[in-house]
Amino acid sequence: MTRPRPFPALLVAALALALAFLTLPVVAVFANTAPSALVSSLGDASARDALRLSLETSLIALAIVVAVGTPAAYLLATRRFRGHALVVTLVELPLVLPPAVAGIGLLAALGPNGILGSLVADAGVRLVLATAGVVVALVFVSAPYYLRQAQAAFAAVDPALLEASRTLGAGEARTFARVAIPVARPGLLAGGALAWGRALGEFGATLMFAGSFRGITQTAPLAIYERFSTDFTGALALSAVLVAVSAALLVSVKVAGSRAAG
Amino acid sequence: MLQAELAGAIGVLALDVQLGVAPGETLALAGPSGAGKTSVLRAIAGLLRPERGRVTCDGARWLDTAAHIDLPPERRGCGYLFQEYALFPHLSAWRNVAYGLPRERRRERAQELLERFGLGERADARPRDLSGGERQRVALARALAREPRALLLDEPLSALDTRTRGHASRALASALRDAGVPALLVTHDFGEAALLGDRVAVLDAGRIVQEGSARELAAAPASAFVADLTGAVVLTGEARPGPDGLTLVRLDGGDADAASTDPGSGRVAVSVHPWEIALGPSGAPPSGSAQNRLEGAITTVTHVGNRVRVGVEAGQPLVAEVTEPAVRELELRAGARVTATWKAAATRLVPL
Repeated sequence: MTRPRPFPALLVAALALALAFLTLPVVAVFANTAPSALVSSLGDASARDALRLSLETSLIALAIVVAVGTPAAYLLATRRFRGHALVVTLVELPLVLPPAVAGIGLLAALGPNGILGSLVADAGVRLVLATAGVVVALVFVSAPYYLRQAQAAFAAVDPALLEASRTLGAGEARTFARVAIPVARPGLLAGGALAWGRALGEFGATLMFAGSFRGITQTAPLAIYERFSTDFTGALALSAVLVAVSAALLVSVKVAGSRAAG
Repeated sequence: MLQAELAGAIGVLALDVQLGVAPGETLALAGPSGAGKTSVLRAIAGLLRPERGRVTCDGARWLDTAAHIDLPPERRGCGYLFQEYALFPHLSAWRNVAYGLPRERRRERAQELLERFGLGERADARPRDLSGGERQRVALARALAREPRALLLDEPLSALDTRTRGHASRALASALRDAGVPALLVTHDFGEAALLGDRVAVLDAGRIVQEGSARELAAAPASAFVADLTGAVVLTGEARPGPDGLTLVRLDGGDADAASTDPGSGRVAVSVHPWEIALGPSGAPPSGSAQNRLEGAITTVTHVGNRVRVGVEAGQPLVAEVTEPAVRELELRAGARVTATWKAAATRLVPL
């Protein structure tokens, strides 16, 4: 008889508890949704609109975040300058902002009476109660997730690789495109997945800044919230669809990441 | 001709180096870590900008801080072999070699180079699937692919295990000869410098302290530092004139004298090559007047190929290199007492 060792047992118990608690709500969503309800919820025009809007706005937001965030993260990872730590902290700040504060902040900055409001209006752009506003909110809340990951991924690239590229005749831009990005790819993909996941689930900032108008600003999470008081089954079905989409996203990025690294 | 004058502070190091390398010549820059060897290479390649400096190659000015000229690395055209080779992990061997080549015929050019280094079969392998020696050759082929105007090599053999090193160093020496461009190589290993360099310059704390052929440096080290780097045993003591034109040195840590044919006075370093030192049984009678003799206890016995390096504590530590039969015959092992002897004529004195 071997004496049971208490510490490994404690570790296993902790993990089992975490796993059970974190998966229970997801399991419940599917357990309470009949497959037929899933299908019929997709037959509902407003649900389809919400899903389509969620995918569109989150993909546009992701494209903006990646296009601007990748070079910005590269700069933060490869250059040291005065105020570096401050800049890193500032771009990560939205991570800890409550979504309601993010919404209020966006209104105060870009809303009709915001500090840049007249600039936005003069440019002929409408953000509040408009689809563009949803994109702005999604970019604001998701960008820090990508920036953080991308900066870490670029920082992990051996500087000798970048220098080797330079001595082989490639300028800084070509080195960035041909060496830094491919080598950092697994980390960049993971950052993109996190940012996309965050954008798909965004609720508070979107609601406060862009509102909840069917077909214009009502993304899937907002549609779920709207149904929840009147049609719990419908809300569950839409939730199940959103979970399925998010899970598929997470899995595909993990697979792509392991291919790139493996 | 590659010429470089570099000066100024780099971190805690005060760099002050002038060097010139002729086409087809290899200059080995030897020194301990922290001496500034890699900084010299990086400054020449344009990866680091010194406070003051001038670098020219075949009449082209790469760097001239006085004239505000500082070409970026991609416009200098030097081949750089990095210490850990810095192969691009996401590219196959041939794509690594072809990285800097113009679009047309790049596959063929890369393949030719790989074949020249015996790697024709490994063209499609990723760096992680290559052995250390193969990686080194791919990196060398890559550095040579663009027909560089100068070659810079940072510790080209130190990432290899000892078995691969012999073969790799011969291949590297012939590649350097074939390239026909100035080559500057840095290493902390004097043996490597002697093997690959036509000339050796010893770098200490950012300055070149002695320059010459490896043989010259080993035979007549200008300082204890150079003697130590060349692998010689270095003892310290107080020199005074002795009989027959010899100099006697009272060695620190005991009352033994060492004789040398070199002149010297005051504080000196006594240097002698390990293979000049013979070991005999403790208390053996002297066999010649010009013999230096030190008694001590063996601390280590290390087999290096067919030679054996024996560490002896004789007031000061020294190392003798002897043959395997000698070890068996004298039953040399840690703790045994022995007499170390060497000729006064093989004893170099350097002022401290």
